[in-house]
Amino acid sequence: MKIKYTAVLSIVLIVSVVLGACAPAPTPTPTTAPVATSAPAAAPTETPVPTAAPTETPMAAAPTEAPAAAGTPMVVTAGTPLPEVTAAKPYVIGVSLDSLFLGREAEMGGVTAEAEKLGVTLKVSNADNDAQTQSAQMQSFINQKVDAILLVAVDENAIRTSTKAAHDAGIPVITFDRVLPNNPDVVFQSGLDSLADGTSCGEYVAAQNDGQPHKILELLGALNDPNAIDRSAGFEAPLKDLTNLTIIKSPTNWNAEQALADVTNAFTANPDIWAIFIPSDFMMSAIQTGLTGANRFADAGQPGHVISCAIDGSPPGYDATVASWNDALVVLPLKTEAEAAVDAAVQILNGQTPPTKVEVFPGTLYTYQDIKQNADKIWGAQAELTPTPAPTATPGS
Amino acid sequence: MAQKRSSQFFRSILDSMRRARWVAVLVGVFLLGMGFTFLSPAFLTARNLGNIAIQSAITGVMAVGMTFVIMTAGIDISVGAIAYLTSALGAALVIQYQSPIIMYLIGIFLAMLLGLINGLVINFLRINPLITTLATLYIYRGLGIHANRAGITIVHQGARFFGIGTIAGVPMPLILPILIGIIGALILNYTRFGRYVLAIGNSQDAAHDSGLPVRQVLITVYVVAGLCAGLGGLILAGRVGAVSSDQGVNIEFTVITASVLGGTNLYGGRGSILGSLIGAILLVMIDNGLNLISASPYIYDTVRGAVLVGAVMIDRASTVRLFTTGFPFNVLAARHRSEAASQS
Repeated sequence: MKIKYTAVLSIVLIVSVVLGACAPAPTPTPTTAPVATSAPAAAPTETPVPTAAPTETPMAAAPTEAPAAAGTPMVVTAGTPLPEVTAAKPYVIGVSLDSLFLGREAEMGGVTAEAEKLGVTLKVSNADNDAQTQSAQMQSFINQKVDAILLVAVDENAIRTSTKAAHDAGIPVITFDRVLPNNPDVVFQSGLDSLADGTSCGEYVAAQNDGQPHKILELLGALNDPNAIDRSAGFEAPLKDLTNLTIIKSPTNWNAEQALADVTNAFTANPDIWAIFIPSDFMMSAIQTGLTGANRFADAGQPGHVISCAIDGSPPGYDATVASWNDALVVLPLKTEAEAAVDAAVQILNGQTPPTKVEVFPGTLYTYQDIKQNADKIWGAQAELTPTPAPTATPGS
Repeated sequence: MAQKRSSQFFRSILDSMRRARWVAVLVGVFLLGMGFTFLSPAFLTARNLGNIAIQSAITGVMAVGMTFVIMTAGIDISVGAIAYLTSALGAALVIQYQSPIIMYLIGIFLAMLLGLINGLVINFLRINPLITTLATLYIYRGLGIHANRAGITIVHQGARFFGIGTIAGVPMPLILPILIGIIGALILNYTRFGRYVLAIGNSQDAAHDSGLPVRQVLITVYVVAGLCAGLGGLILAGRVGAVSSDQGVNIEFTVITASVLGGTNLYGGRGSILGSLIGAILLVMIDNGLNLISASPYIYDTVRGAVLVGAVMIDRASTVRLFTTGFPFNVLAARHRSEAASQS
């Protein structure tokens, strides 16, 4: 029996090692940042600055009011610089992530860089989109008596018990990416201005309006995700008075395959769809396949082209916009927004008070005409990605 | 004499329908299709029916493997992670070595290996299948995230054949589920292995006492589930054109639902490959129809849940109660008898 046990365990071990060895080297971010061995140098911290306005951009991103925040007395958009930050001692901060994907990796790049600069040790956990797992991980951070917790919540309601427990234990909780508007136990929130990002896309589509009756396919993210909800609301706001435009909504639940099915089905029922709103550009390959199947895949200015606007700024979105089959891309300032969360955490631990409780950072809209010139401002343009030719037409799909 | 023949005929229909529990989900598909046809003229078109068939390919192929597992009273919730890991690793290696064949090799052999690990752990370490595959779900997905650095890997054009390729004009996502379904049904119904699966699902102890190779069969069904998951991952990656870290998340529940809707008993001993494929079509049809009628995005989950409850009720009512009592055939037979008696 022992031999069988050993054999099975050996196979599992060998396969795990082989798989791990086969895989490309991981980025160093989702693990623990290096521990500072001495007091950190008083290096000036980058204050959150909005990305510069793009050159030749027809629709500059306009920051809008952040989501209503009960219990959060002050909300400002990016541009209010936080005071220069230095850590009074080597703090240990727990980082509770909802899941790991390209955008979160980009944010973690900002968190890790800023933590290293300030001599902060990070303990990172990933809830894999499971609210209960995240609660357990938050409790673990509380038990470990970390100095502060940086949080991207899986579920804004389910996390309340954990944020209250941290608050009761005297551990400040700082959120980034997703703002939790109604949570009184969060001491600082650094978030994306999803409302403004959606509005940028809505204004871009509105600017293309020729007064003819048109249909717009609006893809939605997860219906319980505040960012997805705000992007949708922001997109629809500039279009609500344009009565010639009809919006068809389709939920993707942040699932690329669902997005492909939605596009395919929507074009089957409405072959004359004029524009698409894509709430996250990680699904660009799926959209491309769907448009190709519907015989509507064409570059901007070509017959049959479908106007599209996407949000995020990841490599697929950047490539699609450079290739000009995607018209506009709202690029999110992920690194800046994540750095602001670390700065705020250190300030609070130092006994200082950040000038605001909520700071939101709007993205910047680039079009297919100016995106290449602004590649250095786009996080996805820096990431490695092997381009692939357009898919061949497939019946149905 | 004629009455007796008629009664036998009804009885034979009744018996075959009792066995073919997928008839219930087929009725569900038919009723739902009628409803959506009434609401949207685009539903009952060749193009849309093709869309439904293609969109159900991934769930359908994976449900074939899941049917084998559930029929032995097991469960495999790691299939989504297997699909993700194999396609993530395959896509990354294709880029590195510029050879699309790697994607297919990994999609098939690595997936079988991962299924084999599930089977070995369950059967040699005697750990509950749910717990084992829950653990391997995390391990496999974690390895996949490691492989593509939590990012998005664009799938090489040559490695997308299972997703967007065609043979003689027929899309591969249409060919593959039919092919896998036929092979699965043949194995299940016409091979010794299939009979063993059925016997073990009915009573593992009795099968063991009868000298059946219980352990080997139980390991093999997880290999089959892994293989089908790998093929599903290849179709998925090929269709979407990219592999991201959320790929295949929660698909295991859709796959299990498709199998159960198709008449597979969660306690083992009963199942149908055809039923699982029809179950996958029913699940896709819900979203497809709601898309076509431009339904509010907030009612999708409600409708999904209601249709599933409806399908289960049809299953329970028709196949269990009505058919076990023989209604309406026994009523007809009784009427024939009374009419014959009155005439005589």
